[in-house]
Amino acid sequence: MQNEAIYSDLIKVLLTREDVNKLLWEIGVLRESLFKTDAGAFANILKSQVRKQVADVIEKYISAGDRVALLDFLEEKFKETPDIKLTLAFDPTQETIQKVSKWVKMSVGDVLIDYKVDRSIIGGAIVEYGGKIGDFSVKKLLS
Amino acid sequence: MDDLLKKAKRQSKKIIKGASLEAAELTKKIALDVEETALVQIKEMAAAIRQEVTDSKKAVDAELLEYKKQRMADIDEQVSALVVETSKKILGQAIDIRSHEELVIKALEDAKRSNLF
Repeated sequence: MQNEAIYSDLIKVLLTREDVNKLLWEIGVLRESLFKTDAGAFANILKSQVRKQVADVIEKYISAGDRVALLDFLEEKFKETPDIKLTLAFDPTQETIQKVSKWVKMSVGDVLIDYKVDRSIIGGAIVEYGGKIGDFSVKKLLS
Repeated sequence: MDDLLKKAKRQSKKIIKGASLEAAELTKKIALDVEETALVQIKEMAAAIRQEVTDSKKAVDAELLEYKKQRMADIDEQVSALVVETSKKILGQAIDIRSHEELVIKALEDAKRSNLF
């Protein structure tokens, strides 16, 4: 239950595959800290090497006894979270990412976005999901 | 003796005349046969030439039609490519970030309508 709650909170702030790749790296660093003799190592790493928005969520839920299990759960859960590959004609701003993720969460569910940029498509997007691909670009419309 | 000689002369003249007539008749007949055969051959040759000309014209017409079609398709393709390239240049520069975002959301909506999700 607690595991699902932390996943649910994290998926609200981790919107892209890139964000999650960073999380997987952060989980690795946190896991390593558990094997250090310094009792405060975990807290120090959480503060110094983990993004604040992620650290806040982890700090809120994690207790000393279940750290390994929780980190394992998060790693597995985020690796299993499906991606939508989105090819755009421009570099998405943070605002664009927020807008797209909002739409995706409402219309598809908990899915990460893996962004790629290809300026030749002019506008719109090429969408790949679950082995299927759809070209909804302006370039396609023009041809 | 003279009578006999005269008779022989007359007889030979008659034979020669007969032979000449026969030869003339034969020559005439051969000429007619040759003419008939030649006419038939000329007619056959003319028909063959006509057929060959017709076939060649048909082949040339077909080739010409195919060439015209290919050229028209090439021109269509070139015009389309030009339109696309021009549009790309104009649109690529003209689309601002808000319009880009709207186009992306529309693309996602279209993807959903196409049962991609």
